[in-house]
Amino acid sequence: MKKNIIALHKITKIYRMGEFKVHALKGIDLKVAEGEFIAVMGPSGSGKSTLMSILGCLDVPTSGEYVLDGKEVSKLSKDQLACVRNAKIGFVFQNFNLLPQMSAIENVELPMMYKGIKKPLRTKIARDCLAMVGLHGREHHKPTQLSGGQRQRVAIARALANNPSIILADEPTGNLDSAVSHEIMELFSRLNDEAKVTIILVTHEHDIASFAKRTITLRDGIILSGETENDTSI
Amino acid sequence: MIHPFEIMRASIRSIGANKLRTSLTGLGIMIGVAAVIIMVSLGYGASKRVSDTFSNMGTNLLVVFPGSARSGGVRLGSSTKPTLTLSDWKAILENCTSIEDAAPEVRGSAQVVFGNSNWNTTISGTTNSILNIRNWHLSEGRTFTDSELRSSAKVCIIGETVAKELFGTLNPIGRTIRINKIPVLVIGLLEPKGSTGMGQDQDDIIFVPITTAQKRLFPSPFPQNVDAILVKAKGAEFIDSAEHEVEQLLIKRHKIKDPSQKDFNIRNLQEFMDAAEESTKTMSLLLASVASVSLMVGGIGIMNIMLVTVTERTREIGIRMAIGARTSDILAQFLLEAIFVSLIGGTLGIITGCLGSIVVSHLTSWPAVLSIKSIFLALSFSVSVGVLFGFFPAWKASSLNPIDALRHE
Repeated sequence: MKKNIIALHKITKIYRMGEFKVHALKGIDLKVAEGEFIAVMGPSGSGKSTLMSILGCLDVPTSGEYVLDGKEVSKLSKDQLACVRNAKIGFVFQNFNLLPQMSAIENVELPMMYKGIKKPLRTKIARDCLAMVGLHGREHHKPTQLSGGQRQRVAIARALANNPSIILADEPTGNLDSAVSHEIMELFSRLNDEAKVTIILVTHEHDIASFAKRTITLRDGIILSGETENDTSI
Repeated sequence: MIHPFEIMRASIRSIGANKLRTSLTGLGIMIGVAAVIIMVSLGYGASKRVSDTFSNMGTNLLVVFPGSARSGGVRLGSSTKPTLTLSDWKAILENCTSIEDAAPEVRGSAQVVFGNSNWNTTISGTTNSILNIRNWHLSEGRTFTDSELRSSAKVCIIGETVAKELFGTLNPIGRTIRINKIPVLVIGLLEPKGSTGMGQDQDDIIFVPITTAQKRLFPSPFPQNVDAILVKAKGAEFIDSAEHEVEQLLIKRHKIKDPSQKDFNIRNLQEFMDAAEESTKTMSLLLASVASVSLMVGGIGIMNIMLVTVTERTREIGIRMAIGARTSDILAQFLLEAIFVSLIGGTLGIITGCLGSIVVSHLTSWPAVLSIKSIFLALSFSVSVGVLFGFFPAWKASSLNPIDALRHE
């Protein structure tokens, strides 16, 4: 039996909008094992983004338990969450979210800098990560000098930098054309196969989701299908 | 955990990324700091000039004048009654313990002639002590000998102005001038002293032995009387006790029962000096506080720009937070940015301020005194401005919610 990286138990999230309460998540139970590659699908307003924020420790649930890599993280403070994000989670965003004034390698070094890794080691790891995503020789290019696909590769290298437990990719191909999207998804698949990186991916495109080994479908704050590893119904 | 040095590097990078904005923001601080330094140094200069003029007239100096005369119920002004005598002077010199020196003075004005030039000046009959009391030195020649003082010798020491008017470029030493038609030998030339705080030319004077003035130049019905006694206290802290001692001694010697009816006046130069210094200090404080207003305005400029920066870089803050920056890391980064900008402005302001005060003092002939203290003060002031006005924007940046910050367009 593989070790569970993520275990969600009865996670709810309620947003207050003045008088109204919005139930974004209504009791999510989810287990993710090490080395899984999961796609989260669902129409807009289904709670995908909220689920990703909670999985990514950017936000805490209103109730429920979230165990990440053996540690309960649903009640942590802001700064403790920052440390968890830094050490255990790698983010890949739709719009890349690279710092424009920094070169590719500096962007990749950034998470390691916040971890306190010294410059020489940091540079070496960043070089390796960039090589892993196929950007060898482009270390000192600024994001504006790179194509969309290359920028996303830099972002993936950055997500890999601190050797996280999990990579969360929020619509990583949303800003890319279909050819480049497939290249990026192949990179994710390769990382999952070869480096055994656990990946959770949010998308609303079925052909992108098909790269993943399991698909979870959300609707109105609950999981419709894909709750367990064996559940393959769509 | 991130090394503080790395945060510093991040701050310096983002300052460098926007050079025009940084320099304009720094300019506000620079002007403020420069203004404070110029104002403080000019203020110090002014008070130094005041204290210089006073110490020029003689430090720790007391002057005893005779009291006012009464003429049929009409009181005349100070020094109208011949009450001070040479024996008063000797008694002061012998009995008062707080004094360093004392000199009697008989003053008069006379027409002085040399060759075909002539000049009207003040003649002061006194002893060598007056030079010590008034911190005056000879640039040439010698002082009076004891026998000259005793024998009312026809010798004199002349001031710079008198020498210039009578002799022009000639060396006056060893030449004879006529004071009230009496030939007098010039034995000494005084160093130039300039004018007093009140604009009197101190160099327009001739010193003669007191006996010469009393017997030959200004013979009076009271040959023992003097116009003033100059007293030098042992030090600034002895001025009050010296004044008290002299007062008590003269009250006793003149057999005065009611001290309010005393027949002499004592003037204390230290009091004038203190009052004058006080007023210049107040003035420089006022100037500095006006100047510090511009430093405040500069600080508000920093705050303004930092707030814009925080809004502009919300996405960057979100990214940094998502990949593991803690609240304190963001706070430190933005606070350091504000501090660096104000420090750069402050340093440039110190340079400008120093140059500025030198230029201003050259143009206006006001002395400027640059003190390390005021420079240090200005620098620490600019850093505090950075902290004070940078804190709110930095706090705003650090309290952003990472999710909202990431979504910010």
